[in-house]
Amino acid sequence: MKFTDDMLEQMLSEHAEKTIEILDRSLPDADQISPHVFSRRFKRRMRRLIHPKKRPCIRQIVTLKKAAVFIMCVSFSLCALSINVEAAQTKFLGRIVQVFPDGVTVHYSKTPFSPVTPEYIPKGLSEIKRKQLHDSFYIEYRSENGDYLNYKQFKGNWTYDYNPENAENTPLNADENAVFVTENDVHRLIWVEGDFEYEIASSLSKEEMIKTAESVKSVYLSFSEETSSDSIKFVPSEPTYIPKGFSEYSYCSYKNSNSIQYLSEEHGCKNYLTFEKSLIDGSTYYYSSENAEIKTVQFKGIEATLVRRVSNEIPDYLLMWVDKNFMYSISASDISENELIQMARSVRIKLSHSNGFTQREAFSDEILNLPENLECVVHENSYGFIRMIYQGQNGDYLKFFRFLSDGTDYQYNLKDAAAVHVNKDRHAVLITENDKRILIWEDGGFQYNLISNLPKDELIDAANNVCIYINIHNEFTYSGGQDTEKFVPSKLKYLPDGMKEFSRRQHDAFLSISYQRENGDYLDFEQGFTALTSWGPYDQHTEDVQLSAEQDAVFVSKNGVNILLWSNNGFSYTLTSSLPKEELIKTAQNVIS
Amino acid sequence: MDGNTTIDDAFELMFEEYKDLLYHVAFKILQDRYLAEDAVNTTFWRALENFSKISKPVCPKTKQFLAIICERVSIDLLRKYRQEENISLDALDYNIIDTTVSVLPEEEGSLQAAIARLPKAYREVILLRYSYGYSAHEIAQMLSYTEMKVYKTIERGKRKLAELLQQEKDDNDI
Repeated sequence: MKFTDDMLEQMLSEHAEKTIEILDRSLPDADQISPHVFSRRFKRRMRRLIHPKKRPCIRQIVTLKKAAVFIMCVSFSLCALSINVEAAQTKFLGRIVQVFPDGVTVHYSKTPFSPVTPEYIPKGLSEIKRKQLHDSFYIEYRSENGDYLNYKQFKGNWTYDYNPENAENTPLNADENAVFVTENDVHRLIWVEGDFEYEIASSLSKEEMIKTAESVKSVYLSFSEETSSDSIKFVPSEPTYIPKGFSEYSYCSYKNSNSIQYLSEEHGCKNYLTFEKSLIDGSTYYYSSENAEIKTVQFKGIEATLVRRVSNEIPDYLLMWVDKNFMYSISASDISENELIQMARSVRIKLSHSNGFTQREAFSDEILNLPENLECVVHENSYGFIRMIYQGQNGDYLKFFRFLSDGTDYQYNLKDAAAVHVNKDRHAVLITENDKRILIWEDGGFQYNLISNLPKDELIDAANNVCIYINIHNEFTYSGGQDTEKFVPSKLKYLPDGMKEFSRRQHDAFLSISYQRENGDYLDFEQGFTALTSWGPYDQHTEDVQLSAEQDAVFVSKNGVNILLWSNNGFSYTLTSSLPKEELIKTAQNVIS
Repeated sequence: MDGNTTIDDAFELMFEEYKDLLYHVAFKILQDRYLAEDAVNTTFWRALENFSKISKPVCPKTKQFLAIICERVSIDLLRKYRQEENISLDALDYNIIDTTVSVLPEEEGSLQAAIARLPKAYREVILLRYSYGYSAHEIAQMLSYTEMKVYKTIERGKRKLAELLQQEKDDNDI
């Protein structure tokens, strides 16, 4: 008998799946493999993959620094903190800069460090040395027979350098985990609890080390304690001198910081230069001085720290300084020190800022090469959030959202989602619900959503054009305004029949909930600060309506999209829907502020 | 998959379950913990890109799928870092990866046992095509192959399978 191609095709279609059972036996089960202690670098990369939406704001700022070659958190080895080495400590405009032989730490906070000591100390040991720095606490114990125990408490986010093969996970205090490392006959127990990280290094048994670790009471610092001391308003700045060949590549602005990245492309090589300004917020940065020189430079009466590191024969620079409650930094590679300092001298308040947003380019060009026949009917910006709605005569629509990706989260059904790429290498999720498609991706600290009934290819094409534009002109600057007001999300007491929550996005100044029905009807509810929201312009399709005796609203309708807008108690609300006006009014009347 | 499970939840579940296994697979090939971690990271990226066809985050099928991707990613990394462009894929397969598949006596003679005995390079492409239902284009992207190579590998795999089946038949006839 000869096996024809058709026969083989059929056999494979029917039996290939069952082969998995046989092959499964050649792979070990999870419990047969010793767990690997993954590096911080790996965990950081995976966090971006698993929870791309859940990064706190400060992490995003740190992420921006990735372009600079200097790395924030590097190995802080035992000897770095060992007080055998005299640390040079200088007061730096009320902030502390500490220069160690292997690095420099800069701390920007007035908040005192809260040291805790172990309540249990193994028998025979007595304290011989104790030292407290601005962000760490150290005690050295010794016994008469030469045993030792060094206890350290850090505030911050250190990376410990050890070979995972020498490490094992060790339970601590029932629900905590520590890592026990044995290297070069030194035992170390490392754990994180509360807002601090701890380490015990000792010649004693593992059990004694664990017992000592379990006697350390955890300490929590509240976030407000760190940040509330400064009530200074943040104003963005920018350097007015930019080295030749560089041009602005991206601009990011946060509540208390702004960052500008410049790019030069010479001979096919990309070279980045990053300027950042932030309100002093209690952050501690540690810069490795491996292969680096650290020195103090002066300009305009300001003392700045310059770190120069040579890797692959190209020097990398980091210049950082503090001026009037703000921290500045410029990171660059392959430029001269003089240019770096000239750039620092030229830093000015950003001239284009005002109380709200500034706009460098026309709004309607937000998406280049729009699909044919679509026109912009709504555009809105608030607190870094942009919303644009495009509509066509034939009922086509395209909604564009851009907002800061700080802690925002949303949910969708897995069965409707697929992974796609936009702008060459951006990972995006495409969700298809009946005729509606939603494309979600992240770029440059922003999250982007496109919602449309257009075909997948046209949607991706629109996304590609958004990215290109945004990369060239990240144009919005938020410069304060509602810093002190608390955003209180509202609730909908009434929902039209059959409407189910489809997605929800929320951050500290914005709430957006999308509902939809099985028949494709949708209802989007949005809430933001009134002072930070601008609407329009809308055309002749607007109508004034009354929600109650005291409450007016504006109704906009075009090509089957109905929008109801109103303001109440300092908040602006928007309902966007395919439902009739009456349903929108009824829903709006039942919003609990 | 449960309709209420988000991609994030499902993906995290899959990650937690298989991260150590994939590290084990990658380290076996690369013998370098940093490169092995890179391989695991890339594997999960590729898995996310092809997540729509993963029916359950934790099941033998998903485990096998991840292992196939991880091995291929690791081999590519190894090739890149050793700069041994002239090492053939098959040489790497046979020298580095243990291709022994244990077939139980009751499975002997079955078609799935014959598929399992195919050379690894053929088997993984055939499984991705016929068991997981990926297109040649998708497989090419996953394994960093050209589409032509995917087609050729499937073709060669089928020929090898026919050979194995014929041999088995002849043995039984004797």
